[in-house]
Amino acid sequence: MKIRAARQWLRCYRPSGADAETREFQDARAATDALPDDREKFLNQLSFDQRLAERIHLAPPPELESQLASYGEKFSELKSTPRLTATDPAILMVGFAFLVIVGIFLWMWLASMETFDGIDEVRGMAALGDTSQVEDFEPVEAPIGALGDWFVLQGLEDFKVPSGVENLDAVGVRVLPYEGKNIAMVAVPEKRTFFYVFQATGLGVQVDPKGRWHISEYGTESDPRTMAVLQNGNQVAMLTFAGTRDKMEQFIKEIEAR
Amino acid sequence: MGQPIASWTWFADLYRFAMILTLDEVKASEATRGALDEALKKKNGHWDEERGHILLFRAVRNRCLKATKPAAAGALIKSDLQQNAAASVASDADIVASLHRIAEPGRSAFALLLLDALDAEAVCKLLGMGIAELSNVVHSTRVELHHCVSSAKAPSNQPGATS
Repeated sequence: MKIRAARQWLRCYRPSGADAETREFQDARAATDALPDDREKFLNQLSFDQRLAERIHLAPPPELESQLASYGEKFSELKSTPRLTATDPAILMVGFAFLVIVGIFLWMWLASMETFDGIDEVRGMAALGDTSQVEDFEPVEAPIGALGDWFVLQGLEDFKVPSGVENLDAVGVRVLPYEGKNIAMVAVPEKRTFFYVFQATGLGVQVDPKGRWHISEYGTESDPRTMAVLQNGNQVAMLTFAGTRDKMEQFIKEIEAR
Repeated sequence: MGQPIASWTWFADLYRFAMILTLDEVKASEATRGALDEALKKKNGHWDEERGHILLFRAVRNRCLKATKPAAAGALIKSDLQQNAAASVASDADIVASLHRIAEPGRSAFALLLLDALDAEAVCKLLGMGIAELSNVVHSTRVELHHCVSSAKAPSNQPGATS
């Protein structure tokens, strides 16, 4: 116990000595035992309080005295309510129920983190993009950040690229038709990645929280594939590759660090 | 199922506490009886030993504060208790009356500790304060009371007006 706390407890010590065996006061005494000034102050306080206590124990008026005995009999007929402790079955059941409720909310929260509005459309787009053949792409040798003009010429305005992604080298570009929309798609040799840019409203996509990559797996057990989706305003960017969620998280960290 | 409660001798402390707060035998007796009657009505056949103590003293205090206006609170005293304080207590000093004249909540807190009615943690619960605050008000009350009972002067606060 710290000295400050010890002094606080000792100032509230009962002159009857009833507190002598309680943990707080034993700790407080132990903490101040080596301090002669504190010990002297405590003993001075104790003797003063004892002198006062001797002189405040007034006897109740006789009439009340007998009534108090009567009250005592009435209270003695009451049953003492057992104090609930942490090991009581009722408390354990309440605790268990609380943990179950917390668990359900946690599960729901984690489940909500795994998905977003329009995720099925985005997975469908990624799956379609994965079927692309080499000849579907127009070869390029430029960083992704320099491909805006190419897509403008294809009728795709607003080819904006998230920070870090613009430095990835592209080897192929194409316009992917999907659900009646034209999607900007880029092939990146690093980790054999595909990069997409599309408008959120056209596909009913709503990624929360905005401004942060949402990573989820969409492949099969034998062919695990992962996508990372980032929404900024109405524009959505997506990275996909053949690999696990952990690898995508690492890839995103590397990209953002560039 | 609990066991019947054996000893109720501490009921007298309810009266002693009430006397310090009211300095009036009649009011103190009424407050004590009123609090006990109220507790019996509320208990519905059961009694929680620890909480019951606190609630009974709280009920007595509430009744006494309604019946007798306490002294206005002043600034807390931080100076140390005078050395050999016990020796300087005047033999004819009326401790109960002097304590009665001191402001709340220090008066109630110190009275409960002197009476050995409740421990510090229970007093904290009753008065709705932490141990640090209780420590400050108890110390201030102790020093102020020493000033009153050793010099036989009135305390720095004005005596409480009784209704």
